[in-house]
Amino acid sequence: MVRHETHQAYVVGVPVKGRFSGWALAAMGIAGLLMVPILAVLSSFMTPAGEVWRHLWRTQLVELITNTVLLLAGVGGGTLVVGTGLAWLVVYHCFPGRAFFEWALILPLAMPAYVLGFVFLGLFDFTGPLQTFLRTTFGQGFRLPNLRSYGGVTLMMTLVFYPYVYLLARAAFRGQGAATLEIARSLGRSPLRAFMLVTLPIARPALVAGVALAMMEALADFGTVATFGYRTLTEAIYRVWYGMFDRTAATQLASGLLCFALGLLLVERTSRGRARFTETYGRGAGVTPTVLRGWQAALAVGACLAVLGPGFLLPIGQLGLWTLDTLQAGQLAPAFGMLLRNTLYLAGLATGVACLMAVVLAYASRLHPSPSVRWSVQCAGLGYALPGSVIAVGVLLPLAWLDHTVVVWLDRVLGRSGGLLLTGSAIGLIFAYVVRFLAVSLQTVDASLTRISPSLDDAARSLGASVSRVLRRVHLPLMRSGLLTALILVFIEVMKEMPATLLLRPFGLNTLAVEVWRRTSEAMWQEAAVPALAIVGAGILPVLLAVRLSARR
Amino acid sequence: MNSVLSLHQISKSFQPGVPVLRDISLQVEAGTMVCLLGQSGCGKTTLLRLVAGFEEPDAGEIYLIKRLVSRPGLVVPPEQRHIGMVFQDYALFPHMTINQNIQFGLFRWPAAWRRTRLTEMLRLVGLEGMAERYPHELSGGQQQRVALARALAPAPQLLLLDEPFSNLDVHLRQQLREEVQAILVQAGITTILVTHDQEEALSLADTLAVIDQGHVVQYATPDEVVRRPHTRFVAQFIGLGHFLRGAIRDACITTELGEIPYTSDLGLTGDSWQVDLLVRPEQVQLCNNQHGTPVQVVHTSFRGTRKLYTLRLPSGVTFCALFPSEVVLRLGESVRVTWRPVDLVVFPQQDAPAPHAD
Repeated sequence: MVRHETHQAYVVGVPVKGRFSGWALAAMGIAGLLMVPILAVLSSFMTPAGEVWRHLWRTQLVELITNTVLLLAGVGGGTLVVGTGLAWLVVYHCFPGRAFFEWALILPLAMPAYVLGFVFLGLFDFTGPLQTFLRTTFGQGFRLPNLRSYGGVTLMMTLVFYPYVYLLARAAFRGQGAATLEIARSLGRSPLRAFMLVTLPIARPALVAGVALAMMEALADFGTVATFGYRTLTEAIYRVWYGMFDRTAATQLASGLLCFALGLLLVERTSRGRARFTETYGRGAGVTPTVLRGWQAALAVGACLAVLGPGFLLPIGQLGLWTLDTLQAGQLAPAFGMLLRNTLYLAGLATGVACLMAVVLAYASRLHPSPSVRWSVQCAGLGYALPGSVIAVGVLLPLAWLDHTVVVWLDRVLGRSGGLLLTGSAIGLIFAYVVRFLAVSLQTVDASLTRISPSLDDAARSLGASVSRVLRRVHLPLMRSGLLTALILVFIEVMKEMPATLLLRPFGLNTLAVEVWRRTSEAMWQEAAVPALAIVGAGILPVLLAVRLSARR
Repeated sequence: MNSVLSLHQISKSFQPGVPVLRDISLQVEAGTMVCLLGQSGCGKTTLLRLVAGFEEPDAGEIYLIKRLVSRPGLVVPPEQRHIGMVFQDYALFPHMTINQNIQFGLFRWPAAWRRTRLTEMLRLVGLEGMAERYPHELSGGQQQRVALARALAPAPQLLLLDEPFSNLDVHLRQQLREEVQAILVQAGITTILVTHDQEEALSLADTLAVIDQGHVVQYATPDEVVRRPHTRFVAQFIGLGHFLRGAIRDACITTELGEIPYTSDLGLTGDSWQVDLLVRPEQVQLCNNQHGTPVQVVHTSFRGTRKLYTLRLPSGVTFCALFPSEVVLRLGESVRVTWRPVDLVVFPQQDAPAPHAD
């Protein structure tokens, strides 16, 4: 998920103390609703579960925490080096294919980590075609390092999550312009030294934010770590929940994971607040790139391909081949149509709700920019930092409570027969999707709304239009492209989502992501290819959108 | 001749067929301030960047103290040229203190020398006691002085200033201009200043290079440029002049604003020669008697303590006049004026450079 910086924010309304405002109330209501899962998980700290914690500590907690921390460190370091290095290459140098690579290097964002994971396992694992070939050539004793390890998982995630750092670093380098770098050179520093002494430190907040985003994704990931057998907190929640039916332990693990997530969120939010690091200079003269020739140019192209190849081109190719095999053999499961329908239905519903809420929140903050509305918007937009598994646990707790209290009472009143109404339905899942992905639609909608100058509002109102008329006839048409972007972005994120879906889905309601999990958990790589390709194919669209949006700046 | 910088027939274009600089040749003497004056897009910033080493010339050579630093195919990198630069937006390093900013170019100096130099620089620009502040804590004028100190600290052989005063508000500009001039004179450093502001160029420069569409059309002292402009462009670019037709007959040039005595040192020959004369607003005076030329006021505008009037001659030709604000003329009013130019600027009507005695 990519965050875009807004250029200008217009604040329209002036909060009048004591005046009743429907918008403000709606905003606070939405925020309150969306905070329920977080509060539910946090409240588990308060229920005495000493026994559970002791058991976890004795058995696996240390290993889980160590593994999670190591994974975050590895992915953080890897994405920092790869993302910053590629951004440096693309911004400050000119080499064959640069224009192509500049946007193509964002493509891995369309590839879920778990898809890359199983493609690599299918290709490079011990029983895969590459190692089999190498064994027949070099003898049976030959083996490559084990892919199902810490190194393997870190490599997968670095290849898929580096675009977060790459995009933010690229924007930071571009935004600085050429002036500081040229001054540093005129004072005697070589181009590389100047970059390290001046450009990198100034870009530090953007890099930290990018690394924090990559680490949040690594924290939330379930499919990759499960397939690779790497035990992290996220993986443990799922295992404990389904394997041991130990809801309490799962909840405690979720609360631990939540602390990690909130820590990362704090880092990301505070790193962006340093206004003095971002451009005090206007978009002055742009950078004059150094032209690379000969072996240097070859090295540059090689570096880009070394990242893009394994991270995107190779898996797309392999998925395509597997899909062709499946189609030619006529083995496409008839259930595929059902999977597609389910996925589209769930994604469509979640997208509609998320975008509607985003419009309400964005509007409320435009019309009534009071502290309470501002806080509501901040809280509602926290979901992107929370792992899906944590949200799932946080959704199930209140829903289960509701099922056992309110619904039972309602059944008695209405004379219905018993049965879990809420926990067995898709409502919980939709709710979880909205909590997690509202931030995406909120950011996009908010950005497009704040670009509309308040003088348009004033002009319309002076001509007699009411607030709702202004919304319908002036704002919505102007926000159309922003709304469309928001719809697409949320839709694709819901399609890709796996952890929460696995935990919350009603029995029998499978999505494309769930199908990928089912197949890969049994090492059936080829059968997983068709749904995986559908997910990736759909995911390319928002990436191209992001490219177009960033090109317009 | 003690020239610090020498440009020989420098040409540069960024797109094929669209030259930004054509055949520029200049010499800059040690200790002087040269101003490159011209409109936006005339190529003056490109010239500065060529001198600094950030661009490669398509043709020509650049010599820095007798050493060849730039020609097509060879460019000594900026970090080896020992040239100081100050940009329009100062480009201070925001993550470093003033201290660290100023010392940035002194990394090869021993620590003790660095400290002394820092104190010296702070005193030179008048910012003692501010060493530990960050750039965002300073005002615009203070930031500019830090940028200057940073550029001067390594004792460069040449200083390049790219529109350094454009970011400041009008009140500050005048004051800072004088302060910076004093600093540069005290430091004794050779300077090239790029600007589009004539007032700035005329008041600061020892030598002025007027640039039009990639050519240096005149390279002379400000006095020369004002009194004896080489081309129509220079004549019209500096100050608020308007051209007036005239015809030379015997010893006079006949114009609508009266007869101007014609002196042979203007170098024009033949009779009944058609010329254009430059009328500067300061040269026009009100006149009460019959000798003046009747004109009509078509526009007025305030210029501080004086008023600028656009006057129209009976033939329809307009020109400007500057009168003290005690004089109050209304739109449409008819008055009489005389014109007695002290330094006559004349061009033949074929637009060739004005011949004058040198």
